[in-house]
This record gives sequence, structure tokens and C-alpha cells, in this order.
Amino acid sequence: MENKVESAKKFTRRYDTVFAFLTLELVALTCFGLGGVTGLRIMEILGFFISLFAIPFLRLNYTQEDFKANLKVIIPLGVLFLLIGCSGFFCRLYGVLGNGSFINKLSSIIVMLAESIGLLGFFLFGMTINGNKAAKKDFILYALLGGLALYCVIVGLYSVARYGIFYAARFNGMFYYYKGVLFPVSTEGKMLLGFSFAEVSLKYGCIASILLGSSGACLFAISPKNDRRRFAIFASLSFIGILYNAVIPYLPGLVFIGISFLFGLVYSLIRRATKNNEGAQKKVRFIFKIVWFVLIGVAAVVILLFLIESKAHLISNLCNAIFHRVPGFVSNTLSVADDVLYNGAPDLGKINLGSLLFGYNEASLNVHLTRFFPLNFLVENGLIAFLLLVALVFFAMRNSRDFLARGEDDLFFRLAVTGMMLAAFLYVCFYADEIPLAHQSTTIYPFSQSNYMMVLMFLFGLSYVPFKAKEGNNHE
Amino acid sequence: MNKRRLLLLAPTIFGLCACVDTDKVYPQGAYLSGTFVDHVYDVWEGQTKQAFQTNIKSKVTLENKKEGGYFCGNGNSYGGGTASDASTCYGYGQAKEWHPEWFRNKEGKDLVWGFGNAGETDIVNNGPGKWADNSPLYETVYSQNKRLDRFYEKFSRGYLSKLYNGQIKCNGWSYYAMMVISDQGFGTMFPYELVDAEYFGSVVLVGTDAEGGDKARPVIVNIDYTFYKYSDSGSLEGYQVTVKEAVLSCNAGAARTSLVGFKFADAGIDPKSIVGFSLTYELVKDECPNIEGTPSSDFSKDGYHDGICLYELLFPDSTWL
Repeated sequence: MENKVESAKKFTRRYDTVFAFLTLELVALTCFGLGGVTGLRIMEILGFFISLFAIPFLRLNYTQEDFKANLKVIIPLGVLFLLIGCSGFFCRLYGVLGNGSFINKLSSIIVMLAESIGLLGFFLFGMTINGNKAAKKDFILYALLGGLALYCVIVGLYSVARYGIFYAARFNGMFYYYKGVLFPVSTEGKMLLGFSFAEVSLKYGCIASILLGSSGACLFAISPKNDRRRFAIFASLSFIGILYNAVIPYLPGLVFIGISFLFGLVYSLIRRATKNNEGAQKKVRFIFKIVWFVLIGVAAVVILLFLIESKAHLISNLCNAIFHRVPGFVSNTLSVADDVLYNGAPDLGKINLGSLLFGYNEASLNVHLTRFFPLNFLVENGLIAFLLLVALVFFAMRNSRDFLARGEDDLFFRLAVTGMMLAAFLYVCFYADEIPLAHQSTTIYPFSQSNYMMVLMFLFGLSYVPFKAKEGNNHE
Repeated sequence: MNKRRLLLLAPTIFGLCACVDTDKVYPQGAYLSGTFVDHVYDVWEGQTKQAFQTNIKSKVTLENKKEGGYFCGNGNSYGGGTASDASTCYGYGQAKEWHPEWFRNKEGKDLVWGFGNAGETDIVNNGPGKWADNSPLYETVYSQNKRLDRFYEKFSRGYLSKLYNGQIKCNGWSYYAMMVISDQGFGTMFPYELVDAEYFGSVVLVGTDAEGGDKARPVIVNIDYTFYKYSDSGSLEGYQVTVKEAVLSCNAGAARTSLVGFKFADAGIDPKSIVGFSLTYELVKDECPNIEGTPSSDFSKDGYHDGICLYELLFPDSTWL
């Protein structure tokens, strides 16, 4: 055992810089979205194989018992990643199910598995880069935000050149013709897809800038007087994201960046107020616990009601009644329930177990995709993956609390990571777009299989607070 | 200080002025009015109007005949019909009969017109005004095979992109599918310069708001196709080809389009360097049932109107620069 640890130490001493460089390089390129869909698949496969080098790093940070203790997170996460890549919906979409040549099916299986192992790889990147002394926290953020900023600058400048500034406001209600078809100007933006630009819905096109802008939550943990250089760098990077949304102008993007800033402000205020006051800290933790359990209860009730949705369509009507003021939001709840529970054929009255567990297995555009990412996820990936995602979200909430509470050092880093995760996840919960390409309205481009999901998994890996077997549960 | 101001001002001006994708935008419903007279497109881009009025370098009139003439509808993909028969004076019968080599794909198989036979379609129809991937039709449907925006991206932009997208009938799209042209005509500058083309084709019919216009009937028109090139002095000059007494189908339902065109060699025009195009016409004869007299193609006047509905401009297998 000691020999193994010794050899791991030697390995990490020798290769920590190389590993850090490769990881950050790959993360930066993924954030930039190099090579479009094909590029992403390459990143995923590369990510997985490079993450294998993480094993010696993990060996150093975790004893065998520690590692076993963390399996209760890693195994469900692995299952979730497998279901994200290889659900019934994607099996049908990529032609694994149904007619087709063996070679095509094989290549589709490789593509789907690449997605799964890529997510795992990026999570492992996040986990291990934290313990790698060669990768300073600033460098990790430079890689993340640098890739996003480069993307935003290139696409932003191109977008301004093509549409002009404030075009969403100036041309609100105006349309342009493309191949004889009318398209609205004010809901469209540009996106770097591979090595060319494509027209994309603003909902999807602004995700990178929202991630970038929301990193500004870290500014509340950097003193502009004592740490001017760091403050200027992260303020500039965040400003690029904000500017990207402002020149369109895209209000939802600014709102969710604002939420991240608000989170950073409130957290730093609470932290300051409860500093050296254990009683107050306990109170805050208690309030967090209450809110957390209440949210779990609400989610459980909603999911339960959704599942027992009968022909009365009680939930759907309720959802539509509640959210009818938000155009398009959950307006298809009824159809989603039908898709998932009955595989789109509610008249037959029989629940389709395959569709329910592993995703709506008719890869047709008739699937009722909504603006609500979790509902889309349920349709595309099935109930098992959906429940795992819900569990992951609640786990991430608690994990983030512990991540943020880790001492005084590098608080800016932790606020940036948490702020980005918070803003991006909340944003896609309300503004998801699974068919974002304006001029290819038949191409599904799922968020769960995008480079942003990779980035989110990397962020989750960064924030992951491991369980320690000997010291008991680290997550209270 | 001045330099700083300039630095700030430059991107602002750049952002406000540069707008390739927003230079041709329309309010919702523009050119989509359900009223025939409101739908007329009579814009003359660039110097086309001036050149049309003052600088026509050559004029040629073609008759409807195989050798040295123009082709015009007369039968659909299953052939036959006569010009006087409203039910058959549409399609691409003449062009296909006279030049069958134009209507084959790269494997030598026949390209279809896109409607006429059961199950045939000219576009993948996702519903009125909805974009669709038409690539599955590229090797089977004539207009999809030859559409200009398939090969030259800049033809995809602007209101006139409907003239280059391969759609040659309404398909329930109504005014989305076509342009209504009055006797004022219209002119356009192409986004590229033509290098080489053997023939020109237009997909047209006559639309009407005349009472009883839903009864299909043949209408006779003289159509002037004018092609523009830059002269040595830099001004535009026109080369006009008039197709004399073209028989088109007229129907308020507007779905029976004809392929009307000619070989550039027959018109005595060297297609090289063509940069612009205009279309004007003269209504010769429309014996519309149920009304007295002939509908006018002057849309500024009250009363009944006939207007050419233009669906597609084709420079098949052409090269542009």
C-alpha cells in the first residue's frame, strides 16, 4: 500500500504541472467551444483519457476508505452520466435503435459513450485540479473565464458587426427573410459553431456570456484596494459577459448575472456578520437546512404529483395556471407528461415503462420540448436520470455550502465557481432551448450534451467536498 | 482625451452603422397581407430603374418556339396539353421536351417538376413560413436541384431570397411563396456577378383579384426580362428580352406556375458580367369570366387586377463570382 502511495507521490511530483496544463487547456478549449459538435466529442474523449492520469492524484488525496466513502456520490454520478449520453431518446435520435447499418450504429454508440465518459472526465478534472499544487486557483479561473471571454469577444464583435448594437431593442418586432422564410431579429444572436458562425436563439447563444458575467460574484471577496490587480482582471472578465448581454440588450441574461452578484453580495455580508460568532453561524446553517429540506419536500411533492398524473391532468392544468403569465413556460407540461408516461400515446392509457425510465424513445421533433431544462431532461433522459439530476442539484446545494465555508483562503475562487453554477443552472431552468439553431429548426441541440454541461460538471468537480471516512461525514 | 473619445466613439458608430443582417428588415406582416393589391413589390434597387428607362443597349423579342425562341409551361411532368387549355398551360413541359438534358440529375435520372403527379412536392413543407431542410429533394426536384441559394449563400438573404429557394408553388404558404408584380415591374441587383450560364428560367403565373378569378383560365402576357451589366463608364446598361404572348395560367388560388425562359444564345446575350435584373410586363389578354372587360395590371387604379406572381428566378448550373 505504501509503495503505491510512494509511486503516486513520485508521479504527481513529476507530472503535476503537465497534468494541470493539459486539464486547463482542455477546459479553456471546451469553454471556447472549439470545433463545434465534432470538437466537443474530441474534447470529451480526450478529457476522459487525460482524466485517467488523475488516478494517482486521487490516490494521494484519498485513502482507500475515503475513496469508498465517496463512491456513494461517484457511482450515482456515473449512472447519471451514462443515462445522459445513452438514453432511449438519444439511442433513437442517433439511429442506434431501428434500421441502419452496423457501422453507423457503432459510430453512434461511440458518440453517445463519448458524452458519458466526457462528463465523468470533466468532473474528475475538477476534483483533481483542486488538489494539484501546480494549478493555482487564479490559473483555473483564467482558463475557465479566458475561454469564455475569447468566445464572447469574437462572437460579440461579429454580432455587433452583423446586427448593430442594441439590435434586439431597435428591431423589436422586425423580421428578415432567409431562404424565403421570415425570422425575427430581436430573438436571434450569433454563435461560433465549429469554424463558422451560425444564427442561434438568444436563449442559447447567451449562456457563455452569462457564465462569464456571473463569475463577477467573486469580486465581493477581493479587495479593490489591497488586491487591485486581481480585482481588475476578474472585473474585466465579468464585464465582458455583462457587456455582451447589454449591447444586445438581453434582459434575462443581465437578470441572471445580477442574481449571481446578489448571491455574492449576500453571502459575503452574512459571512462578515457571522465572523467569529459561532452562534450566528449555527443559526445560518440551521436556516439553510430548513430551506433545503423545504425545497426537497416541494420537489418531492411536485414530482410525485407529476408521476401520478392521470387523465385528469391536474398538475398540468395547475402548472399552466400558475405559469400562464410567462409565455411558453411549462405550457407543454401536459404533453410532456404524455410523452414521458405514455410515450406520446395517452389514448392507449398504458404507461410505457421504457419511455418513463429511459426517455421518450421516439426521436421526433414532435416531442414537447419546453423552456424548462429539467422537464426537457425528463423527456430526453427518462425518470431515473431525472431523479438522479434532482438529487445532484440538492446535493450540489449542500456541497456548495460546505465548499464556501472552507476557511478564508481563496474565497474569491469559491464564490466565482458557486456563482457561475448558480446563475447557469437557474438560467437554463427558465430559458432552455433544445432547438436553438435558427436556420436549422430540425436540429436538436440538447443542453445536457453541450459544452456548457461539461463546464458545469467541471465546476461541480471543483466545488466537490469529499467525504472523509475516518473523520466522519464531512457534509453535516 | 480626444483619442480616448475617439476610441469610445469608433465602436459605437461601427455598431450603429454596420448591420449586414439588419439592413433589410420588415415589420411583421409586411408583404404578407391577405389583400392582393397590398402585396405588390415594385422596388427598383440601385440604378436599375434609371438604366431601364434610359440605357437599354439591346432589345430582342422571342416567340414561343423550339429553335431560337422561348419556352413556356405547356404541360407538367406528365407532359401533353395545349397552350389554350387552362388545365395544362403550366408546368415545364416545353422546356423538358425541347431540352431534356437540362432536367437530369448528376446520375442521369429525370428531375421532376415537383407537382402534378401524386406524392410529388417541390419543397419539404413544415407548414407556412417554416424553415425546412430541403436537401432530400436536391437530386429529385428540378427547382431544388437548380436553386441559386444552394450554391451561393448570399442569395439566401433578403425579401428576394424567396426567388432563389426552390419553392415554385404556394403549398398553402400563400404570399410567403411569391412576389406580386404590377405593371411598374421591379429591379434587383444580384449579390454576385454572373460568369457563365446557358439559359435563364423564371417560374411565374398570373394572379388575380377578379371576381370569378378562382376559375382557372389562360392569360396572355408580354414579359420583358432585362439583364444589366456595367458599361465601361461604370453605369448600368440593360439587355432586354421580351417573350411575346406567353400563355400563363391565371387562378386566384394561384398554384399553377409555368417555367418561362430562354437560352442566352437564342437571345443574343453574353451572360458574362450580368449583375442585375428587372421584370416588367404587359397584359395582352384576359377573358376573365363573370366580369366585364379586362382586369388591369395597374394596381394604383380601383377595380380588378391581374399581376404576375413570381416564384423563382433560375440561372441553372450557372457560375457566379
